[in-house]
Amino acid sequence: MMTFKAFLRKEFLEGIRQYKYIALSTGIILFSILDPVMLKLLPSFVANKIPASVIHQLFEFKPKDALANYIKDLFQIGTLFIIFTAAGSINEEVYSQKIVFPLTKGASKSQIVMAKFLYFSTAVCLFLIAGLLFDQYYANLLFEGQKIALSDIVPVYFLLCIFYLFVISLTLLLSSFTKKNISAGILASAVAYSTALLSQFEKLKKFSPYNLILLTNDFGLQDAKTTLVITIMLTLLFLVTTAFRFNNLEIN
Amino acid sequence: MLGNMNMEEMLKLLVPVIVLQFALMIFCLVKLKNDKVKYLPKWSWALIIIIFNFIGPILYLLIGRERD
Repeated sequence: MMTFKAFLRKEFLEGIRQYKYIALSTGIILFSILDPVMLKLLPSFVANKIPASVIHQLFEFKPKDALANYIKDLFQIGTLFIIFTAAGSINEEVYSQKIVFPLTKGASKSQIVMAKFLYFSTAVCLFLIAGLLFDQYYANLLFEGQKIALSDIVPVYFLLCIFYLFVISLTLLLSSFTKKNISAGILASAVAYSTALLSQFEKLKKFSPYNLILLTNDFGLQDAKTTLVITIMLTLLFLVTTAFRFNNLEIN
Repeated sequence: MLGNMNMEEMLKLLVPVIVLQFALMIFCLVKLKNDKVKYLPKWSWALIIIIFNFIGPILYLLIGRERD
């Protein structure tokens, strides 16, 4: 337990020193403010190109459309920020030989993996709730129509958290298999984005973690059971494999 | 509520985002001056930081810096 606590503290301090919080907060919170404003400004941007009568039909957004747009951008761009923030966490420890001293003092590798996972998960989940609340505020402020209630945000937040826990565990796993953070980041991005491809097939959709992102449009968890179970199982499997792989890595 | 806002008033909404972008850009350019970089030369990183709003500076912070 000492290793876990020590590494959690180390990750927190390193997060500040290496500006990981700036990257994560920018990737997650920025779009929550930018998206509703840009969506509101969109009709003005295209006003000269489209007849005024059509503009109202084409760009009649409701607060929930703004939220859906934020979640789409979060998946498309925010995921990259999250992946590249976590991509170097295992391989840099090993190949920069920072881990040698703690290991000679008896540090547990499994606890190191758990500490890293908990650190990234906590940071992402905290920024996610901040992002959703900002988006709710701006969407309700800027758009007419049925407002987004706090109770609408809760299932969306839950689904997003589970999806990003999956993404973090995947990134940690690939970080333990690669030597450079950029390779881990590219690989993890490829896998994370291919889950969206998988969900294009109706029969495979519920087995793809990306389905959790699609289900955020329903503002409920009714149809999410299978996808939730599979995503949580994959997350646990990735974490166990990361710990196993890290345990078997030769560290000079 | 904001249905009657004109373009100028709407753009005022973007001011916090624009300020944030400039602050991040300047912070990264100052860091770039003192840091050791990897993958690309310093001038390329400077271009990335300046051209790509938000993504450029964050990309530099995450993968462009040589860690101590």
